[in-house]
Amino acid sequence: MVLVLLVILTLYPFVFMAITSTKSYAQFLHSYWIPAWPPHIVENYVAAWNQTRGYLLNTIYVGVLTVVGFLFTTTLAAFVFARFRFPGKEILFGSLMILMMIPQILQLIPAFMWVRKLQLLNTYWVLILPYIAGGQAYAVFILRTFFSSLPQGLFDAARIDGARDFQTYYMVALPLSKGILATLAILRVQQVWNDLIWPLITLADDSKRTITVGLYYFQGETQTQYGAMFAGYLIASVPLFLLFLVGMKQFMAGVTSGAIKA
Amino acid sequence: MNPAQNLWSELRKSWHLYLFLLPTFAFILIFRYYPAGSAVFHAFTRWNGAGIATWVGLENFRTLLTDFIFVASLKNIGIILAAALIKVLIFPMLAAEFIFNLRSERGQYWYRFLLILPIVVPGIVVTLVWRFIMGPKPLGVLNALLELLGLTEWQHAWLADPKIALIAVLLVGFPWIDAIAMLIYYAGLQNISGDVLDASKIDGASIWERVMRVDLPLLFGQFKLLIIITTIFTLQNFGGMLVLTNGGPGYATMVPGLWMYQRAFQADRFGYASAIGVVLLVVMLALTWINNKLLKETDVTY
Repeated sequence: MVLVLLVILTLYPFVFMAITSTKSYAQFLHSYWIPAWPPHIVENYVAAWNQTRGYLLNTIYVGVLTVVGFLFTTTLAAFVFARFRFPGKEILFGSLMILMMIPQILQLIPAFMWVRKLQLLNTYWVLILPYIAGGQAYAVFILRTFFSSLPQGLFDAARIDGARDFQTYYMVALPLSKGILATLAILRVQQVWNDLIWPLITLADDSKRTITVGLYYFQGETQTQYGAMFAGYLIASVPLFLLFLVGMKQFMAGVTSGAIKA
Repeated sequence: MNPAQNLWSELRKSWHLYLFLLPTFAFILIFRYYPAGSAVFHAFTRWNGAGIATWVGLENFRTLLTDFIFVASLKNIGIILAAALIKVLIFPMLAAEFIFNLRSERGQYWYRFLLILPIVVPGIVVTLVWRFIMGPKPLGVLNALLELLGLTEWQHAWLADPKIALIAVLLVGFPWIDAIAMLIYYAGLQNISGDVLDASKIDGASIWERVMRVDLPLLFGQFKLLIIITTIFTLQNFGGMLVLTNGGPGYATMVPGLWMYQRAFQADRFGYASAIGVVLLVVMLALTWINNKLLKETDVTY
């Protein structure tokens, strides 16, 4: 069956990674393809954990602050654009949307010079602030479409009950958009988790590094500790795996309902 | 009331709305608009690491035309982009079709789950694992596999041989089932109305005929979306190449983004690097425009 074959081929690199993470160097050389006995799980994973722990905590810290700031700013803006009329609305919205045409790579070099001038190098903020700024246009677009589709009756009802304009934002709009917020949050976290170049050039201080940069250097230091190296790769995948298990239903539904559209 | 008074009263009535827009616009002004504008400006300057810029007009762009590494990087990215488009148009779509045509709901769920699973693995890990797979004898997985199969004459220093490094890079990620793309196709297939599927069944169409005549035309929107996403992503993402080969050996796998990065941070030529960024911007805008033009009129609904 073709599907079984596709699954095996797709997952094989990671299975190989998992199996090798339990071996000593000698075992890796002698039984390359198959699991070896006795496994060196504790030894390899302790070594890997000690090396990656700090990077993981940094990444989680940056990821959480990014997502909170990102969802707060984008939902506010999208709510205003979706449910109010005010002078300059179209111009403001257009000037936000045009950012979707401007690739991030254009600004990589000047952004580095700019954050250096702002003296943000080697701080967590050098990641968090640009990460919050990064996906604004796209998220506001998605959220505005969603907020516009909510029936006006819900807002009228809340208002009759005495809610003011912005109470309807967190009493009506936000609770109804949990699914789409989860999808946007997961996408954002995944981007933070995967970004290499920006943290690579802005964080010289090893103690501030995120997991991606940490692993990039990690392989250089341990020439023959393949077991620990692959254990580290696996540990780095655990947080997103957990997040994915919690949010997968929302995420798949979000993609299905069109949260991922250019 | 005259129009000016009218506008004034509107502004006063909605001042709090602007307050709620302020965070978003502060972020994009400081971290998107300013750096983007700075890039375009500095593309016309000689700009060193100390931040001192001298206006040089079109000099950077003239130099780019004769920079043979940049020209080679354009050729490489052209090949890589063509391959990326072929991959994303075929393999995730096939996977989605196979899953969609399964009878059991549980089977559909589990195959989807297993094929999406790699999304949790950080990109850097995927790249590092593939670098290991393509690694030299005796530990590289691909070479070990060829050894096992007795195909020793096929063994290569995959990423270190200038003649095949680019091909090796293209092989990374085999069988190229991009999780997001697969979900997008799958969602597209689910959106095809049951009536159309029933009608094709009544007409006695085989699954193959249905895929060719019904599914593929109706997935047109998904194809178009993925072409645009993949083009933009491929042109600007060079982190993977930095880790896999760093553009080498020589400049056999150099891509424009990586060359921009190296010019800036290794050669201290920030103005020149900005010019490369501007060229990439223009190329991306042009390709997006062409995509929209070519793929616009032929939208299909049944």
